[in-house]
Order: sequence, then structure tokens, then C-alpha cells
Amino acid sequence: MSSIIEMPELVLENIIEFLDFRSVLTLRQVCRDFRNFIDDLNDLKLPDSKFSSISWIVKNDIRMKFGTDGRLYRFVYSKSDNSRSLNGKKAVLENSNILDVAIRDLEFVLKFQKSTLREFHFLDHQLSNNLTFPNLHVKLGSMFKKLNRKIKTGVLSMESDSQSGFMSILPIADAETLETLALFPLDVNMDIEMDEIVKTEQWRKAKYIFCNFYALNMKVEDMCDFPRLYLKWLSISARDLDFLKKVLNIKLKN
Amino acid sequence: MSSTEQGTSSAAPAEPTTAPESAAAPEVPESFYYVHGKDKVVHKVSAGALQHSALIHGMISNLGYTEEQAKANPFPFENIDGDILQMVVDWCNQHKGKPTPPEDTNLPKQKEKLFDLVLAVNYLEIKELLTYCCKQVAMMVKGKSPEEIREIWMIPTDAEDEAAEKEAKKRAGKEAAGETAAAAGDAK
Repeated sequence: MSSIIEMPELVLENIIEFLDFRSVLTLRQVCRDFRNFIDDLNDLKLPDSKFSSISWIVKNDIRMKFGTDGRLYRFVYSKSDNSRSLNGKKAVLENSNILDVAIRDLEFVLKFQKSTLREFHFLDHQLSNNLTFPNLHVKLGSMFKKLNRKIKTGVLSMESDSQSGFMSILPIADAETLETLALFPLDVNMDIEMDEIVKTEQWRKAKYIFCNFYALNMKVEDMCDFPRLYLKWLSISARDLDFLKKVLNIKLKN
Repeated sequence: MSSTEQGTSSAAPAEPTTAPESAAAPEVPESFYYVHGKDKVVHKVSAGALQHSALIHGMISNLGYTEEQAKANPFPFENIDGDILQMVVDWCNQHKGKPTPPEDTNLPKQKEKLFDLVLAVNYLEIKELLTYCCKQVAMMVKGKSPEEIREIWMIPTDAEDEAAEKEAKKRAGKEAAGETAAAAGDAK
């Protein structure tokens, strides 16, 4: 009698393509052979999870939420007791680094996401002088590099206290699908350097941009192509103001 | 340009000789091939139906058998059970020269048969049928728990798996020991 485990790899790949995210997740728990097989599988062979949103909130713990409108998965990764919980069910992970676990889970979720997300949120509430997860951005960076794929999303919202914080996420968004870019500071009176952000393809291609902080080190020329833009400046030179007036006049006439 | 015109004009005189109702019939008489499975029951299948199997199609096109040769040399598929091969032949006949539908609900409900069919179809390289079978196998476990999946797909647990492996190793060890003992006996 034929057992499923003895099926040729090509056949197993075909079968897995017809499953969904939840079923593949369950199948990983069935036995070691399946877990290894799934983890070694090329992203292309995995079914599309068709999630509408993914969000990450980092503070004293990491909260990852993703899914469709009908079904949401809520993960909480706590550093204090080294635990992970899914929809309220908690499991203590004895020997694993909780940040590594959280990033591995995010990678797993991203591998299944082939269609365009409605929104991707990445909110890092950590203050630079008091980091619960000091290597967060380094580890995320190497994961994104390994994933080697852009995240297709309509909305990208981020919270950080520095340009480098924003820049660790912004380049991984697919500029072709990105429509709205929202950048939040930890404190609305913060000022943040913009010189690298405005150079990105994502900044130039987004249709709507919202920056709720004082933007430093950017030119007015970097912001006149958008249908809608919200931005705060501490000061503006007479030349820049004059330039903006002219641009606005031309736009209004059209 | 002129050559095609010539082609049509030369074909034109032949037209009146063929009756209009026979025009729909295939011009070339269909060739048949013969296959049998483990049970040695021979099935006569048209080349058109066999087109679905990339493996058999490849064999046929390389052989260039005449009708008599084909009859004398049925393709043996010793690794496929008779009833499974019957299913495959029936499917090929039903879908001969037709575009395959997006879904096939006519597959075996019994999982053992379905798994055997998957293996046979994969071996014979019948792409569409393999897709339907894989979909049906996938649907069996969609939304099920790990324990349910283990039961439905008949997957041994890791512990059972290890025990079976150990058992196999032990047996292999014993056999090897037996052989050396026998060899030692021979030497005496």
C-alpha cells in the first residue's frame, strides 16, 4: 500500500500547492519529514496565503498580527518569560532566542504572501536609549536579504525615532504596488533627517505621503510630485517658499 | 504564396470524390497500442487516448510500430495494479482529444486507491490527471488537525518511524550476522 510519505517530491509539491496557509502550518506539525520538506520548499511552491494585512508592533514585547478580515492570527513574543502565544494560547520556549523566533515566524508568513497586501504596519516603539530588542533591525535586515523578495503592499505605515529605523523597512516594500506611505515618529515634536528616505524609489512612486514629524534635510523639490502630502517643517527658506508657491500655482491652474 | 495556391487547387479535384458526411471522420485510420499492468490483462488503447501520457506518447513516437508489432508487444507496466491501470485507460479514453475540464469529481473515493492512482499517473506522466488527483489528496486534509491528517494520510508518528527504522536496522544486522555465520560454516 502506498503511503503519502513515499510519494515522489514533485507529487508532494503539487499536493501542497493546493493547500492553504493554515493547512500547511498544521501539516508541519504532523511529522518531522513533512516539517523538513515544507521548510526546504521553494516559496513558489507554497500556496498564496492571500492575507490582507500584516503588522508588527515592538515595545516591551513583539506583537505580530496578520490574516484576512475573517481570520486573524495574533502572536505575542514576550522576552520577560521567553514565551510565544498564538491567539491567547501561550507556550514557553526554553532555549530559543525570542527575537529569532519572532523573525523566523515573520519570514514564514512572508513566504506565503504572494498577492498584494492591503496594509503592512511596522511600528517600533522602542526608544534608542532603552532597547528591549537591540539587534532587531540587524536581524530583520538579514532575514529580508535571505527572503530576497519585495513585500507587495498598498499601504506601508511605520513608526520609528530615526531615519535609519525607517530605512530598515522602506526599501523592502515593492515600489510598484505602494500607494500610501505613512511615517510616524515616537513623538510628534521630533525631527527626523530625510535625505536618504527621499532618494528611495518607494518615496518617489508613492501617491500619498504622510509624515507626522519635523522633516529635516530635504528639498522642496522632493515633495512636489505627490497628489497628497502631509509634512511638517521647522523652518522654510524664502527661496523654497517661493518655489512651492509657483508649483502650487501651476497645479491649481491645471 | 503561389505554392499554397497550387496546394489548394490540387486538393480541390479530390473533394467531390469524398462523400460530405465522411468528411468529419478522421483522414488517417486510428492506430492502437496495447498495455498491461501487474495482472497481465491487456488493454487496447488508441494512440489518441494515449497522448495524455507523456511517457507512452514518447515510447510510441520513437518505436514506429505497425499494427501487428504493436499487438505482439504490449507495454508492460508491472508496477501498476490492474484495476488502477483500468482507471487510467478509462480516463484517457474519456478525455481523448477533448480539452480537460477544470475539475474531475470522478476519482476514487477510497484513499488507498487514490494514492496508487497518483503514483501510476505520476509514473505515466499524465499531467492533467495528476493535478486532479493531487487536488483531491490535498482536499482530504484541508482544515483538519495534525492528528486527523496523520490518520487520513496514514503517516506514522516520528516515534513509530524511528522504531520501524531501528527494527529494519536490527533485521539487516541479523541477516548480515547470519550470512557471516553461514560463510564461517562453509569455510569449516
